[in-house]
Amino acid sequence: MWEYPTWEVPGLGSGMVIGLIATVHVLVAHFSVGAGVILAIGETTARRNKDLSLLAFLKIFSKWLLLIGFVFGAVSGVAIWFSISLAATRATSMLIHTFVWFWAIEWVFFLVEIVAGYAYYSSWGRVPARHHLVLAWIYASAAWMSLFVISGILSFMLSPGKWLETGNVWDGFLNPTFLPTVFLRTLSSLGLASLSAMVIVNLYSKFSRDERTRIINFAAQFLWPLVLMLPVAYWYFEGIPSFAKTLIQGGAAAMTLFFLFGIAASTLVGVYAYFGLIRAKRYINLETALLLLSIAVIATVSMEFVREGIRKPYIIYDRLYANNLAVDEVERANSEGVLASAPWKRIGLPEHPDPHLLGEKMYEIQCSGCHVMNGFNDVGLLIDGWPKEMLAYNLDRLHQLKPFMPPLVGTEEERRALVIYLMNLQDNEGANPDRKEVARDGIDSQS
Amino acid sequence: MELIPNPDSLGLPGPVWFLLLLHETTQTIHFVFMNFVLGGSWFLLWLHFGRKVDWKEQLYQRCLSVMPIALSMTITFGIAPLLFVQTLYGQFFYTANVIMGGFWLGLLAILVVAFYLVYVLKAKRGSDDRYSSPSIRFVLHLVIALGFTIIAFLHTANGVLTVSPHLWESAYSDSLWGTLFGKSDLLVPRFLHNLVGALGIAGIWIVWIGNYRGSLNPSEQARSGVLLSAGATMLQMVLGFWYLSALPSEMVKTIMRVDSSLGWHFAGSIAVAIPFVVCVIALTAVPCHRGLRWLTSTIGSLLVFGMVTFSGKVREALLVEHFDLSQWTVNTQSGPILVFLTLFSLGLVCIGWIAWILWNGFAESSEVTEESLY
Repeated sequence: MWEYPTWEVPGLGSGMVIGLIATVHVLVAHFSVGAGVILAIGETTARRNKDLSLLAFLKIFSKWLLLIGFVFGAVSGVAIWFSISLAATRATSMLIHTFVWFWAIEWVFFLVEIVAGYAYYSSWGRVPARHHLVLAWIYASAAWMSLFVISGILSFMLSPGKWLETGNVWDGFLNPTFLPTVFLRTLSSLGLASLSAMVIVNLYSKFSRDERTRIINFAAQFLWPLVLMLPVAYWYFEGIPSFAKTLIQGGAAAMTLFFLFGIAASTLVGVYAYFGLIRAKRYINLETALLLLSIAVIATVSMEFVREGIRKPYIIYDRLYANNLAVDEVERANSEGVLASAPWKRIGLPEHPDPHLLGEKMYEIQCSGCHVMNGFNDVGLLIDGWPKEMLAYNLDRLHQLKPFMPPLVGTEEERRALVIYLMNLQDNEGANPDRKEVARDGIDSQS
Repeated sequence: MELIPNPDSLGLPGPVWFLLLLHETTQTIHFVFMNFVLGGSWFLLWLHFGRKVDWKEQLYQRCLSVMPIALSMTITFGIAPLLFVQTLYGQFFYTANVIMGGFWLGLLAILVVAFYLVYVLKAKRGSDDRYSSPSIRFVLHLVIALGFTIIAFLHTANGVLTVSPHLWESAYSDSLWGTLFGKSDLLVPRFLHNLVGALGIAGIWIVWIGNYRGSLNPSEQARSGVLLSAGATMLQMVLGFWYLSALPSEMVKTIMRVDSSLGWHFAGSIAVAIPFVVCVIALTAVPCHRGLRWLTSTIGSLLVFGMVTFSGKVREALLVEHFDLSQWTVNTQSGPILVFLTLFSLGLVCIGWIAWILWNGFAESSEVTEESLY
């Protein structure tokens, strides 16, 4: 069950490291996909209309794509691999042994994307126009196909669908939220790239006001599809598991708010683009473009947060809990014990550890991935002031009282040991002298 | 050994031989590019001091232009073997990752900084720019070369930890953040073997760059690469024996037996290494000889492939008391494999076409304006 060693990150927690890296990568990856579409359609349009200023802008835009997408995007993509193997080792192993060929397919598209992208950037004015245009379309197609394939794996984690019964990889890939995920990510990609283009064009004084306005109005055409965000989100919503729906529908206030904010922000940007930039053909300056881009970034991050959040208490829905316990292992963990299946936590431990030590190991195995001692989501603050009976009652019914958390498993002795460990935390202010102070301040401010 | 996780119960989604073939082929390509990045970064540092000489300045600029593309290809071709090694040896590889966790993730931070610094050096600026100062450029070159060397060291440490379960407990107990310096006799010789090998292959890249059309004094440019390659290859022989002697004595005996699989792989690698050395020596006399360049490069690539497969066999042998690849349950996913192979073939055709139009386009034109293209 817990066969792998755990990676402890003081203060932040290993899960948070994945979250931070994945969020940054998603933004850059979406920009890279959307930028491909803008370059391909943009160059086609510019060459047809002999629009030299648009062509000049696209050349600059391709340089930004290179510096952001190909350097930071490529490395942050690898960083996701590295971080998930550190923080969610078992889930990574399950995913790779299920989807390695789909990742290999995605890699093929990524390879073509990188080669075409470098070729595109380096061959401005050096190959015939028709060839350069083909390069743009190859880049755009490969980048979007990369998004298409990875969407199947990402959506699988939330809605594995029939795979749970059949174990067939195609059932897993073509899961209920696969297509809506592809659409949502495509819309997000277009939005981020379009708004980035508006920021970038404002950074170059060589473009006149008229030229900038024309380029901005051109880029804005990639924003109006954002008005589709609402129906596509509804489509996505229909495909997710029922408990995940309840979390969005008020079961977890944060999820509801972030979801609504994400939809509203995206739709508003789309509506503004349609009426202000496409129909009225207005100009926006650097500050406004940055503001709009920030809204789109926050919307994307919000939706990613929701996607991750509503998957709780699982990493792979109905198969693997967030703390690396498989759903079908609960009974065995309760009868044989947690420590018995966590060899790395037994290193240096006496044969019969005292309850405090045993409780500490229980905490490290089942809780520390999300609740970092003296750090992010510190459990000490959450249980401050709880009497022992209340703590034991809650822990025994954790998955019923807090259904977004995995069930607490272990023998009776191990569960009691965890209670003792957590109670000692409360008693021992030395572990975090500020903790009670912070909690008390919080209560005072509420009253 | 109790700490070794069980192989994933989902089994392998394809035959072992096929996954190994993909792993070793893609890793070879990754190494060919990586060797230029690592070895080339030190060569550029050396070349930086001779930029007042025209041909050195030209070679410097050209190597610098190739660097980001080689770096990007190194990363891209590093992803594929990363996928396949996880599939075949996940239980060992993941454990090694966690043990050296902070360092493992940290190497990517070094990579991204070094990557951007390459672009800082490559950017064309006016002579009044502070980045054109030789001392600042020297510092940047040094940081880049050291960065790539540290990354190579961390990768080597990961590889050593992967095949050394007996080191895991002490390495993990040292710090939960993860330490990489498991006390292994293999680490230093293997790292130096990788580093010097990178210089040897980078030298062949430089021969090609030095012979590129429009070169000023191509024989001198190419010769500088050949000399680098020759020196590194000579040193590599010594290091190879050091690395070999650091392996468990029983394994060394097996390697020396030609009736063992390990022995055959070793003999095969040596059989490729000898003509490579001969070719490199011949190239020092005629560094611009086109046929010899091709031959040396082909044999060099085969040598890298030989080293990769031999290294794979060594890994198998070091882990055999704990795990054998034949223990995997294989549940072949024929459909996805077929899709992958089809798309991979189409992808190669596409890349071939791109290479062709670039070759022709760059041959025919210097910079032209957009207007002239209509």
